[in-house]
Amino acid sequence: MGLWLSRLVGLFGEKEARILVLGLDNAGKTTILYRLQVGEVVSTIPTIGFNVETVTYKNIKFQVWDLGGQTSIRPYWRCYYPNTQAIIYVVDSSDTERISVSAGEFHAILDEDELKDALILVYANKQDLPGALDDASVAEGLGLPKIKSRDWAIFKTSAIKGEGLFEGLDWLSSMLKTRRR
Amino acid sequence: MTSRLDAKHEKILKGLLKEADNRACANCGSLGPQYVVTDFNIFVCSICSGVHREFNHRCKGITMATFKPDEVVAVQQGGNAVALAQYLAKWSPRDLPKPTDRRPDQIKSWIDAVYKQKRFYDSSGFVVPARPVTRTSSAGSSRGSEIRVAEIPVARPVSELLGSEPIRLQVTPSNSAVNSPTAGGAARAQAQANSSLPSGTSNGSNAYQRACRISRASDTDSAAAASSHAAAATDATTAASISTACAGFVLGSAPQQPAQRPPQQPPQQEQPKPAMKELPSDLFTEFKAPPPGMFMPPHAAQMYAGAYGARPGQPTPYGTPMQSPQGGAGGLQQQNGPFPGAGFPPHQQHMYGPSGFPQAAAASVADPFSGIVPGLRSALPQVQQQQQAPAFPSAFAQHPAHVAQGATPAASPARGSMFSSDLGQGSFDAQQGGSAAVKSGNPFA
Repeated sequence: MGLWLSRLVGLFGEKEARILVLGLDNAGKTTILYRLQVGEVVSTIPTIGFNVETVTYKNIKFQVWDLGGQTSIRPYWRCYYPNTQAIIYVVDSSDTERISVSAGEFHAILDEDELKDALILVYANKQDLPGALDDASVAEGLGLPKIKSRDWAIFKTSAIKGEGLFEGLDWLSSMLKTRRR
Repeated sequence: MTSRLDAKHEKILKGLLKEADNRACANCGSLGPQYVVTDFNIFVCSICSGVHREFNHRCKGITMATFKPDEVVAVQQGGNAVALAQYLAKWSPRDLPKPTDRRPDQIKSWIDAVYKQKRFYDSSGFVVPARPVTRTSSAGSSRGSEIRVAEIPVARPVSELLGSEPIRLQVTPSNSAVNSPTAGGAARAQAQANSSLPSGTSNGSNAYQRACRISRASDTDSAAAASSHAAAATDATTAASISTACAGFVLGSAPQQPAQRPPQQPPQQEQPKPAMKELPSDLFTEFKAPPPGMFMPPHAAQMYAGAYGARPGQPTPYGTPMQSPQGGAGGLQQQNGPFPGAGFPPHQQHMYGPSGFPQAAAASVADPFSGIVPGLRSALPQVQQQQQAPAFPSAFAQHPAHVAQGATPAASPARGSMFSSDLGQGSFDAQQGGSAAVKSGNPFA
């Protein structure tokens, strides 16, 4: 009886999705995670290791993993790749110097076998800063338009102002729902 | 190839971290900064680096990020001393207090004022942005201006630095450096410690050369060589092969660092100082024996009797030596006396520092300092100790382990042994004060 009830709840209740937030250091990954989770701007320190929080949105329980982005800990991202439904790739739009570095890391992620089915959501973050590239420029810098075989989307975001983040989650949740059916 | 370059850069940066000004965060003064703000070439702690990132300053972890060669050179030429000499040129503590306790709000307003608004910025008094210039100007030596900055000097034999004539091996006990914290004395002690390296042993001279190379000290300026001691010591410890003579040099000269540092600080800037630095001078002023007329009220004595594990029947814990071995194992004692001669880590020194306790309590817990500053007790006049001990034993007279003949068994309460090696053996230590000095592991007592 109890088992049956829990299955029924699972059928109509929340779905779960495991999501990785990746990107270069100081892209704003941790700020985005806590903006999504607590809805506020928290003061962060450089992440060593990871932060993980669950964010329930549109009846989907997102388990969001925010991994440290500094150079020498990027190789450890791959430890988190299995069973990941989506990648949120965060780009510091104001850091025009390192957009090529970010593109390199991005394509390394795309080439990963364990992530071949993962959705790709790109946040062109820090739009509140003057001189930030817009989403089209960031997409161009990352080489997004050339990607035909994957589901991807790019959003202009500002974690400080809280803009664009949930629009991205909207896209994620709709894509996840269509995939499940 | 890049990984080898990264390793080289990391080594250089870690070497820079050993320098006096870079040991503490440029903003909040917490020890052991792990990040470089490449906009200003300063070393900051993780919390301050987080706040710097909010200002869109570029922060790089020393062990977590990769540095470009020009960035490393910039950090070599910069560092906390150089950057703060500019950014805090017109600063005084009254303008804006330094952030304390790693509070992000304070750090944020500090960074805003200092680096964004540049309220205290002045580059006029600082024409050549090279660190060795500031160091020599603060140290009062004029010869250091020849020091090369950007390039890494090649290793040279020690004989070039010290001369070809043989140098007598001379080991100076660190008492002298601690008790006379003048720049000259400390530098002399450093020079002696450095020259006491046997030039014949290749290991020792290698380590010393490496140290010279890392700290980029001048090869002719012996004062600069002495000041490079910090890097020398730490680098030598990391070296895989290290001669016993060098090990002795490292260990023996470690307590001298506090005495050496303060005169080197540039006068115009308020460097965050580790707690260790103030120790030697503070101890004499703050923890000197109370005046002869002072006595302890009975209820206070009772309080301490309870606190320090004396048996209830005893009238005062000071006058009568405790006989029971268990008497020395009160709660506070176990907290206060971690190891014989080991002393206290800096944060605990703060906890038990002069401001935190009333004077009687301060006297009762002042003992752990003896482990840090060896030979301190013996510098006090012993007559005074003997006078003080029966009425109100001073902090210094209570410790038979460190006062070789100063306290008689009757006058030295067993409580005095609470910080020495065996917590449970109070009576043993009290009655064998002389031999306990050896037991306590303090080579200078």
